Amino acid sequence: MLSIMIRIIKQMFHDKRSLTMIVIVPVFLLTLLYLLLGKSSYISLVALDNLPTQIVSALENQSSIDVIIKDSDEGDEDYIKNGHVDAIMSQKADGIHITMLEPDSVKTNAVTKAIQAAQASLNPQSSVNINFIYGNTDESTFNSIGYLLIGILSFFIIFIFSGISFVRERTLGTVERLMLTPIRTASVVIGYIVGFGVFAFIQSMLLIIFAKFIFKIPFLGQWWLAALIMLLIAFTAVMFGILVSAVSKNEFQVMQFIPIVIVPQFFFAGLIPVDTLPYHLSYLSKVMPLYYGSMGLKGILVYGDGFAEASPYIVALCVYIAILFVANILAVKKYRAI
Amino acid sequence: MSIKVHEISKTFDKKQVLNKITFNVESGEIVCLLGPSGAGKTTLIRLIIGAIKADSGEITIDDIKAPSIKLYNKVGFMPQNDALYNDLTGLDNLLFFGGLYKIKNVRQRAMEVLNLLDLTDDKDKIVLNYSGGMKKRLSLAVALLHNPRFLLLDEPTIGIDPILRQTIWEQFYKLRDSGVCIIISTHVMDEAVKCNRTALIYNGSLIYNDTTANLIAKTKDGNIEDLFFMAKEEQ
Repeated sequence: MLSIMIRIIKQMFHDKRSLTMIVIVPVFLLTLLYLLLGKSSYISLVALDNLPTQIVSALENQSSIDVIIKDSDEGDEDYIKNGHVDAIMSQKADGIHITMLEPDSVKTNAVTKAIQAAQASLNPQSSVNINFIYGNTDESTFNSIGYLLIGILSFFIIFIFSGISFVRERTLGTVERLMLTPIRTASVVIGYIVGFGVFAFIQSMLLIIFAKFIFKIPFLGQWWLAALIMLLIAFTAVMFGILVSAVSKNEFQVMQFIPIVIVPQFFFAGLIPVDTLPYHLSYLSKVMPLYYGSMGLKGILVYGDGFAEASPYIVALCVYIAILFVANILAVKKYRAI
Repeated sequence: MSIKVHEISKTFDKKQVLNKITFNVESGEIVCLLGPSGAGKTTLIRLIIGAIKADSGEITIDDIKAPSIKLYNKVGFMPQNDALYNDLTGLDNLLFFGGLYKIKNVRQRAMEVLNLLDLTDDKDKIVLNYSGGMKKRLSLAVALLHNPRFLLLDEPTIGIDPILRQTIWEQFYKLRDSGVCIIISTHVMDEAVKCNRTALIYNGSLIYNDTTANLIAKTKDGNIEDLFFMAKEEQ
């Protein structure tokens, strides 16, 4: 077991590009997403048409929009398409109409926020206040799904690594050769898990440190609990990789499993809220290990869960790991006829 | 101390690859599995080492029924493809396999086999940069690492130049004289001449199994290549 672990570490250090890929790339991707999904300071430009003066002045006081008075005879649609403004607000017989080019969460949010605030300033009793127990609407997309991204990135990269390395060992015949020595099958599987686990652990810690201290995503819980969940996610990824490579003839076939094994897990990991899904599709999430990993991370980071609250997710992941472990042993066993 | 192969048959995808093969290899003997490619030599060696299961028949090594995990400490195996880690150095490959056999003083033993196969100067090179012959020798070094009493070598000298081949054969003779059972597969006739006995396999059947000298005597003008044609006629 130790020999296999040491060998994997040596191989990784001979392959600088892989080492970079496993350690630096996730951090790079997280940074990129932070910049892409970060808090936007965009201010929508809104043209006002035929609005009562008190509404106009109330809107002018809002910081999330800039207002101009529409001064052309163009129709509303043409006016927006020609790129003059983000939205047009006009008074019609049946109330105030707002026209925008297309649903765009940043621009729409800015406009609706301004209208709500303007309304509240005109008539304080109509003020609507939405409170969230965790998080708030001002949070950037990155902050609200950051916990997901670190789990998904880690799972994906570790899966690719273990899958490709193991299938390469198959095609070169080294798995068979090592299985024709007195080593126990369980030791082989554990050796691989721990060998890749070392790099997975370094990767997880880097991601957690970046998420907590540099990007400052909501992080209420204990870092070591988050690290534990990340490590369990990585273990499942290693074993998924070995399992997939056992039924693949080459690297290309491992890649073909990504849309089947990996992508659905991304969908059900919380990118889309699963508890409101139609056709009982939410049950599907219960068979996906990444769902438990992501929910566990969410609990720890966003809700500040302690060990007791996080334990169902930890147990679920451990059960998954146990099942995968047995499947892996069966997959590796076929290299010798004993 | 011997390898006993008794009535071994193997079928792949309804095609009979080996048909009731029986032969023995005694201690201090080099037996050559001779046959054209596709005859079933590799399959037979893989059956003896236990990489695959036989459909029927029995193999015992040192009176232990094969395959058994107990046997792997006694048997050295060199597969036809090199089965080495290309992204590690030669020495690291040996240290890894040595670790699997739990060899004591593994570094010292690794240096011994490297020296034996003339690889000492290249031990710190990545295997990817090895020549074909060097890879073959390293693969042989892995097979010899744990001082096995039985050696199963699948085409061990292919791609090795004549001078080096000579020195490798001298190692085989030394091992044989120290009591090691050796099975070597080959499709090259002049390798067979170097063995004590030759088992000629043709289309999955054992056609001849005799001392190499006796087999040469069977041919018309001492040309061992005639054996192939005789085997074809006998079928």
